[in-house]
Amino acid sequence: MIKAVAVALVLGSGGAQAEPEVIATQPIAFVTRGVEVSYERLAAQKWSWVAMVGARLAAEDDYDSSTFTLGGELRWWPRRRTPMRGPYIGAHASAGHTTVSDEMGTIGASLELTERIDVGWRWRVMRHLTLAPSLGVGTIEEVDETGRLATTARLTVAFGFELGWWHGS
Amino acid sequence: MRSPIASLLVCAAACSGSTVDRDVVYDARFGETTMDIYLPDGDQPARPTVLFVHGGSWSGGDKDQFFRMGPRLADSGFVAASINYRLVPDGVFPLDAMDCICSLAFLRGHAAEYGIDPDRIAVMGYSAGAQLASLVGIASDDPELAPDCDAAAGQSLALPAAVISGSGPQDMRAFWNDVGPDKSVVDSIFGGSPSQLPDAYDLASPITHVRPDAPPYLLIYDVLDISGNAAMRDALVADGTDAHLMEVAGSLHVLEEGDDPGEYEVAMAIETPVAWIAIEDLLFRTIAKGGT
Repeated sequence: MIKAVAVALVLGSGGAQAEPEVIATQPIAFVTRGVEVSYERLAAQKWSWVAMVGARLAAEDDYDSSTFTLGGELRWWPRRRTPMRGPYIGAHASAGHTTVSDEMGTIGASLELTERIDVGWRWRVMRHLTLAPSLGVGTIEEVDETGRLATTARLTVAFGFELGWWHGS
Repeated sequence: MRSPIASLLVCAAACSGSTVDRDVVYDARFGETTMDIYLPDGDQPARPTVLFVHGGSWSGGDKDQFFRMGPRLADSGFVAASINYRLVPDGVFPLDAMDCICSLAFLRGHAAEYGIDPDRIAVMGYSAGAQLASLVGIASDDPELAPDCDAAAGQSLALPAAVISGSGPQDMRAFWNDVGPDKSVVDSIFGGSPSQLPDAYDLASPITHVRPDAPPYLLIYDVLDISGNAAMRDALVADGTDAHLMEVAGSLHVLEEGDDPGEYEVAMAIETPVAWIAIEDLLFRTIAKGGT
């Protein structure tokens, strides 16, 4: 099975010169003391994969914080003739690690694990620019690293807006 | 580690060991004065407790606002009680604050029944509920706020042991100025403007009650910076109180960014990962110092 998937991915990514790639970001993160960058490429007909990395400094005033996030997404593009454009459905998974400190030092850390199904739409404008709003439903598991607070899992409805740079045909 | 989906499926059937007593009446005279009490597993006699006060512009909202925080704290060994209180127009100030203080008295009066340590109760509120929680935290013994409910009769209304105020005004006079041209929301809380009711606005402003024996405070706020959080922290610290302030960057009061930068969900600023860590730190430095 794994071999078959690997073969499909290799075949699907053949002729790499013409295949589209998108480097994207969530621009809203820039105004919230964060940054997120993703790289996406076609994996097979109608399928693409996305690797993403993010960082954020969410806490201010008497606290400092740092959050580092790694994630990935597998996207299915139903339109055969315009891969990586138009509507898509994505299976998203990410892990974010947050540390908070005050004037005395680190006060705690947590891990957030997100699993989500996203529905989005990508527009390609002005040849290279892409815009892709999305809406996702899934779960977030929060793990307190001190073990003092119980691990909790909750439903989430999240929305994002991706701004990207299209490379390829 | 169990996957989130598996956790949710398990939770749907029988989540952890905590339970909830819903719609417990703390003042039988009114229909609104009820609370949900989230109880941890086991029968430990004296647990640290968190009293939640919901937001909703003093005219809306519900105790279900803490449907995620209550169970998590209960699963962590805390008793957590989330209250309803009279809302505008029935709950014109100070009636709303009196209900909150009454609920605190109720928890203390029923400490044995619910396994509560009456000396280890923290109050936590969000938005409008943050103003009320902060006021309870620093002025529950003010005679002008003394409730006449049965639960409070003859009981000490000593200050709670810690306060967590999330995105709520600490100075109602400044809040009236800050809200923009339409003052009706704030006027409706009091039945008039600050010029008409200066004493009520002062009484409702936690910052006017700052005192050296105030309990430890954690003030969390969002980018909307609702009136007076930094000034409240400064005043508390100047009086020697353990008080900390956290702004959650990007928080839009009811829309929050999780650990995926740039992606938002409907939540409170106090539910963000950074806020949870600060809340945990305060609770375990104060009411749960020796553990839960």
